[in-house]
Amino acid sequence: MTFTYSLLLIPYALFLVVFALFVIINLFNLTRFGGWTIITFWATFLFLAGIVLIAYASYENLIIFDWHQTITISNNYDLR
Amino acid sequence: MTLGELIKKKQYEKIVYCLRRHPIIFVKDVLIFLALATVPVGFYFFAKSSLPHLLEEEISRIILLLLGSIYYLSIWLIFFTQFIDYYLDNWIVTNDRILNIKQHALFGRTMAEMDLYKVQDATSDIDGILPTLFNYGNVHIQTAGQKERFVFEQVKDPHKIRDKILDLAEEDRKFHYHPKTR
Repeated sequence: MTFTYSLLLIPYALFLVVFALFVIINLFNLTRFGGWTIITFWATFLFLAGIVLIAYASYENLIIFDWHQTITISNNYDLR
Repeated sequence: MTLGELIKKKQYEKIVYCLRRHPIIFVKDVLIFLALATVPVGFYFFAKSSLPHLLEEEISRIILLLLGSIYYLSIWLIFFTQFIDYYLDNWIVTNDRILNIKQHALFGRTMAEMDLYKVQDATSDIDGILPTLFNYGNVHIQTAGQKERFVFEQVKDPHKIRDKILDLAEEDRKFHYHPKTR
């Protein structure tokens, strides 16, 4: 079976969708029930800054690969 | 939304305390987060010495990087959720009532209130080394004919809070018997 590296990005993208959903729910809870105070402002800012930092580091490390390259997985139980 | 709007503050009502758990309680979550953040670093050094082929092959490097990214985003999100859980757990004491607001992870939230004039007894305790060092503990509030309903958990200065609640309850009882005094 042959597939390109870019296929690996599909589950990663699915994770990012779920992650974004949880981020929105968290921020909604904090602003709706915690109000807008200096603490909620800084907590939101630091949380989003952390996400940007992790996303940026991931991008920088992943961009170096050729995502069009293919990989072949051999069928181990084919004994011919 | 302000605190007053959240609790639908009455005209004559004044907020006396807005209590949360002592900040030292959240430090535990910070330490757990920091420990979890070092796991991939430890794994990297382990793989470098014991499983070098894992870091040499391009496909395994890609998979490890994607998993690492998912891992860090997940622990960051869990850490933030823990903060919200800590921050949104409130006990609000006004000159009329006590409110207990609890956040349960992402989707659960309970609000309960108790009239101050119904408070019969309040006890406070500080138990353990850390609570003694940082002066935090629990305040148990009892009403007549009911089992204990409210517990302020791990709040700062529990003895002072208990005294204040008993004073406020006494004041509120006077108001209920002689309404013109407020």
